[in-house]
Amino acid sequence: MPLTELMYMGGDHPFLLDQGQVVPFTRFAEKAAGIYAWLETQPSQIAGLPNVYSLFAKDPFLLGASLLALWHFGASAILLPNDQPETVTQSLGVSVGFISDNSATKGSNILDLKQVKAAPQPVWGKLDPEQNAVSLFTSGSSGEPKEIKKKLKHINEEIKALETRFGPELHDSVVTSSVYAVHLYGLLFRLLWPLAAHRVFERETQLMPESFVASCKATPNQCFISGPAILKRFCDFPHFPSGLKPNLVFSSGGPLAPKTSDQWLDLFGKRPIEILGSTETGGIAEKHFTASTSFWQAFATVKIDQNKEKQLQVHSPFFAEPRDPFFIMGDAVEIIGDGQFQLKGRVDRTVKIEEKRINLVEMEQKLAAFSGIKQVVLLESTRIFPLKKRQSIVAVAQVNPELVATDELRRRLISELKAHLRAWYLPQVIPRYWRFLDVLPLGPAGKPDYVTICKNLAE
Amino acid sequence: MTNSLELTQEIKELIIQALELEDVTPEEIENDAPLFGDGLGLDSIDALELGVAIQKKYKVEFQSGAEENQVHFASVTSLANYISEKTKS
Repeated sequence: MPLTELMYMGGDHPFLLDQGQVVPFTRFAEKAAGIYAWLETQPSQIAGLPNVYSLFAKDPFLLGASLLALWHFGASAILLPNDQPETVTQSLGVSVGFISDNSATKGSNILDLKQVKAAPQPVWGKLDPEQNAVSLFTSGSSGEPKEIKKKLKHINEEIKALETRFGPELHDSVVTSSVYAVHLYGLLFRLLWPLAAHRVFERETQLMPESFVASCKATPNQCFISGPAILKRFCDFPHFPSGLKPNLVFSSGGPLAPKTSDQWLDLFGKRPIEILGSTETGGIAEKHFTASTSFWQAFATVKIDQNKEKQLQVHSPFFAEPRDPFFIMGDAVEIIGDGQFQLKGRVDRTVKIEEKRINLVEMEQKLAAFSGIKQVVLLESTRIFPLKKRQSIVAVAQVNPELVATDELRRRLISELKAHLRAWYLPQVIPRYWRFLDVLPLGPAGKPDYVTICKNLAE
Repeated sequence: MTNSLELTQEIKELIIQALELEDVTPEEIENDAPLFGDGLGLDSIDALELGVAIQKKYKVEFQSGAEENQVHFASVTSLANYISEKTKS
């Protein structure tokens, strides 16, 4: 069922698993109607701003109801990656209101989803597939965040492809998840795909191994939507009962270590299905394993190729018109067969830290604006501290020496710098390791000499 | 059973060791200061790693859903209360 007809068709089929109770779709439609009623009370348009609302909700039920209400109201959503104060303030500059399940700020144009009451159902029609559905912001290669717009048809196409490929295996599995629906992967895999496929999804987000075990016991017939950060750590949990077998596990958001994949194979009899994708392109490929190697296989409707610089480029109905050019990914690639390829690392300074995509240039610019910082270089911790299990960012800074004259001053500076970054970033990506140098080693072109910096700092 | 003063000290050391924290000493972690968000700045991955470390050390499980775990992981004091509650018998 395309999302464009979800509300039009309605129904009372089960759609949600909430605290062990199965909830019928009528509850979803009522909630969406309540949100729709609030939208109708809003001034139809604020001068100069498009008909767009910012949206943040960790609760997938409320997020989904908000999206459908917005789309039927003729509006689209800016899906915020977090609700840090600066993120919300900035988004209100480009949207007419903010919808949230955890808003610290109040206002006539801010809807607290927890207060939404059921309302009379409007007449739900069919949606126009050409309508703008969501905007997502992601770190661009230049350091400026860039806006990625998805139309309803793009989402419909991707859901259709996923259902064609995985639907028979998933069948009537309940969809559980360790990822929120605030990024494209979670939005599609744990929320919109189950909604469209009339598959029940779990309201709770599984972040602890104990609760995952409890969920698997209560709902053995389940498909777990997850990623490397959680999968790698769940393996450390000593008490997985034998016989625990989720039907399918998906992993996306960053590379899954081969060791973690092997551990899941041992523990549960199946490897997680690894999905390669990006906010810009949606899903691209799934990983295939042979006895000796692994490679990416592009989805049936996704075209892949390499450009002159041997970078992966992608074209698919999930984000582009047939005449649009290929999208260049920023990953070095080796094409090994029809739609089959291997990745050879990033070509820019965009990194993945525990599934969070971060442009190091962008964060360096924000740090350089802090008074007393002369120059700063950010590096992935894996380059310097390969033995640490937590992926993080190392900040190497040249500062006024008096700022770090004593241990106490040094710690105060670090905590101020962290607080400075927290206005834009989640704790996950804020640098955990700080090194202060009198002089930052520079290479021939006056650029930081990364190799020397890494070598000097390695433990 | 460990008395609570020793237990809070142990938890602070466990936090620093399990999460490989730098530039933080046990003395600097206040018993009642928030561990997550604006306090020590820990996140959901830290909660998971800390949960596994506590499980290994004290054989205490975190069975409940995410909302209740937020309460247990709120501060050193709340973790100490939860651990001593669960290890009482």
